[in-house]
Amino acid sequence: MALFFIVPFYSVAAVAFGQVDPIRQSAVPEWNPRFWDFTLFTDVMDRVVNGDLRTVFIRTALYVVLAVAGCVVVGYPVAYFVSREAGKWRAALLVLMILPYWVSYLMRMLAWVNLLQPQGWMAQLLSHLPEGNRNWLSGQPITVMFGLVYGYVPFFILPLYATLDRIDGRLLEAARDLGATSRQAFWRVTLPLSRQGLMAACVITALPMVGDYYTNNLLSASPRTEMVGNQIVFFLQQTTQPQVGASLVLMLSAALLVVMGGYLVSVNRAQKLVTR
Amino acid sequence: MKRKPKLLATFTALYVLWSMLPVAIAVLFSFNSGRSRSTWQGFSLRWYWGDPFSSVWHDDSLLRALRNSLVLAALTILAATPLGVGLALGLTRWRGKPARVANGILLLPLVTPELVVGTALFLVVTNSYTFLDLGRPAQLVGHVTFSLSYVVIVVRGRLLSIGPDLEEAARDLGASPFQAVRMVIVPLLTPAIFASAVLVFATSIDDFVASSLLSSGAGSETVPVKIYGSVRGGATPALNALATIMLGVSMLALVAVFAIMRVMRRRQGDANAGENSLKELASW
Amino acid sequence: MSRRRFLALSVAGASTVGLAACGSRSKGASSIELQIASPAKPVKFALTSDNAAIKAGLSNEAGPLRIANFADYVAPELLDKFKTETGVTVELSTFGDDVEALSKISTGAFKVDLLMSTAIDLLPKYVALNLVQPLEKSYFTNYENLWDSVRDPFYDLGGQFTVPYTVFSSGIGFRSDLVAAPLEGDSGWDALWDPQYSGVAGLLDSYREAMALGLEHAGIDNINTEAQADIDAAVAELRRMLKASNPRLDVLGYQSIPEGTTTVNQLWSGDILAAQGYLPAGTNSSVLGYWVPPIAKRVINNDAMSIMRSAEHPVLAHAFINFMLDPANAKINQAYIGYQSTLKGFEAEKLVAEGTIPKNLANALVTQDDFTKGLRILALPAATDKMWQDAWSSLRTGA
Repeated sequence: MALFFIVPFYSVAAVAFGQVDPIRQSAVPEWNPRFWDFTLFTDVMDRVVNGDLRTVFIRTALYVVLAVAGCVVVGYPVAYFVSREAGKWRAALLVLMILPYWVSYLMRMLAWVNLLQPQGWMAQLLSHLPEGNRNWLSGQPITVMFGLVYGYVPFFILPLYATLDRIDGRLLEAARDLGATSRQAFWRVTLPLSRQGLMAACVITALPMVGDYYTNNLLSASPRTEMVGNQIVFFLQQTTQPQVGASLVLMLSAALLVVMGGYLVSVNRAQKLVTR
Repeated sequence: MKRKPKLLATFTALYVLWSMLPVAIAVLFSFNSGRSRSTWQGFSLRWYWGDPFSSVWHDDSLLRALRNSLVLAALTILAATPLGVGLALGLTRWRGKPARVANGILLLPLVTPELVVGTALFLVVTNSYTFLDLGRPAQLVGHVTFSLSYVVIVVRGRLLSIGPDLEEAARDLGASPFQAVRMVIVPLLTPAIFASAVLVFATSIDDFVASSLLSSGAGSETVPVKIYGSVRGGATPALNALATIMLGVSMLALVAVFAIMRVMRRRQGDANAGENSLKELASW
Repeated sequence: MSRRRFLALSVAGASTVGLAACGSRSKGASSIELQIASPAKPVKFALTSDNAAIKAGLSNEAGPLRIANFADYVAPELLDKFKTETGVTVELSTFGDDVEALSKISTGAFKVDLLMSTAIDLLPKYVALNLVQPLEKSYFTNYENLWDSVRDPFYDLGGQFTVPYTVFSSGIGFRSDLVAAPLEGDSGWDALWDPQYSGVAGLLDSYREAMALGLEHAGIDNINTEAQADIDAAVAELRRMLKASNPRLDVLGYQSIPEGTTTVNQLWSGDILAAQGYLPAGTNSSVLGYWVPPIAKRVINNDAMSIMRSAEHPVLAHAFINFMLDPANAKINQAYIGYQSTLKGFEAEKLVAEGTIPKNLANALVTQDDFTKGLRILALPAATDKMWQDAWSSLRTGA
């Protein structure tokens, strides 16, 4: 199974560090690392750090951070409710939480495209608001972020629910016995205990979101909301320069590894605290 | 007693509505009698089979997408399930470092953005003149890569809860390791195998990124790819109809498996068959 | 997920690397020359023995026939008709952009027999990469129907690899009922830079077309320029446009204009004619308008059909081309796609006289005279093309 992973990743490197065929301007991959040519990669790196691609990376980071924040705001209360308070509704709510997994992501976005089209019900509703009379499907960052939240919040809620579910109810009872109000019990007991799970849920949601390109294409299709994923697919499928796409993928993976590494380090640190 | 958390309850109810309603509306519009996907013009089944040019039944490209999705999903199940079960069985026997490493590798596909894996596979296939071609073969490889993880996780969860006792007992009674596995473990695993097969099915038919990057044109377009390509254009509600059909198929598969699992568990003496099956499906 | 996993992965990766290091350097890039054609310097491609046309007189394969084309660029009714006449299903794969087609065909992401819309400025690349096969003209019993003036084009003398498909100009489509002032005169394109159309503007998602517009608006008439300074000027112009009117980037103007979701849109001439079919019920085609610059600054182009070298059904592909050369079929096609056919009987003058085209859209037709006087999009040498593509990808970042 490692084969499924190692070989493709290596090819990405081979293409990114290879030569360029002058006719098709397409990649001639260099499989032998002794001959890897880093000029193409450094060119792209330059564009990312200093040039126009920097905007795309920053914009993607911004959208992801805001969308994950949106997921927390929407998802945490729901997960909390289902795990602790729901009572007899719990089974039914669980089914409803799981349901979006079984609906194609594309179909859920299709639904919103229909609703936000100029004659769509949502667009008509929004047009009554001030500033609401605009084409929501053309170059509106808010639409893209909304789409990301809508699309990924189910993937956020379920792991969070699992964490909250595991918090021992007796701890809360104990807090209550010691005189804490519901709210204090939440802030001082539940929230800290759920922090690990919350971070995990955020990471699980953010990582795939970074590679998302279809949400933007479906809901916006404008350079104003271009994300890293869009650029990668653009270079792979719409130009004859896949090596730029390959370089971007390597850079993206590196950035994600850094984030993952940071997360793992903090997990380790927390575990050490617990086991001391 | 705690007072009833009305605020949270309302919030959750609103969330459920927000989550489900758009999809329900999309399903509704698949029954629209006019060409619009946003203005209701009456009820009709024309987009399913009535319309002689554009309905799902008559439009070759939509039918082809449906067929491609189902065939690809079936092939993925056939490939990933045995492999995954084998992997799961093997993993529970390893101890120490190799096991932890394998565990880690297993989780990789679940947290890597699909774009990264899809791109990598695309570059392998287009640059190394292997026997692998873009199109269904490449899509299959992509889907199996992701699905393996799901299968292993679900099956392994069940294996852990079965525990080694039964197998040891069988061995004590004289069975060879292979017989022990085949006659004792595998039958107990059947619900989990079914659950993971359904999981693979759902993941495969809903998959977009890998299917899109690795496709070879109309011959290997799946339903999500077709929807993506047609959504911003002047597609008719036939698109909604196609999506609804896929939704229906997913739901049917889910219900069918749930029912089968419940029956199996009842036969194995599980008292709380329904809820346990539900938990198993949600366990990953 | 443990740190040991990363360690193990790097070990595995390193050993793969080590194994590969034992090999030798991979062969460098090929050194074929691209044959750039222009009206002043026409090109006749040399035919090689390893890429020969199919034999004459073969019978149709069993199908399915796989074609690649822009979306909505061939009437679905014709695909059904072909199926009825030959019993063969047609599978249509669509793309949104000419470079996308080249990219997908060369990587195998498209396995097709026939490319219905070959951009003539990319034809040298198709030939150099051995992606197209020479045509066996004996299959084209309808060949005589083509305009005389397109049978021996400068980009493919002798018509060895291509058969012309449609002819069109590039301009601005607009809604005459929604714009503040009708687009006319020499600088109608200023509307795209007008902030009052913010959010309701559109630009063609095609690097040659969009950049040509930028170049022209900056006053540079050489739309095949190789000068970096020109390209930079065009990019600056287009950046200004992106800021002013936030245009959508797609090739769906033929739907968004009639639907009213865009008011001014860079369009190909055929699009505004096709738009008539997408008007909501009760709206007259008089609300549609098309503006083109004066002929010296107007981009005129034509698409062509070509057969892939790796085609599995070349005889069917030839049969289909012949099918499209039938005026009856071309008429059905034009009614759906809007673009003007290059067959006899479809000259601009004739179409206007017949009344097929409404008067307010008569300037969306191309006369054979325009064909010789307008600006043509020509192939670019590889290094120049890279400059153009880099500029385009930079624009698309929205920076």
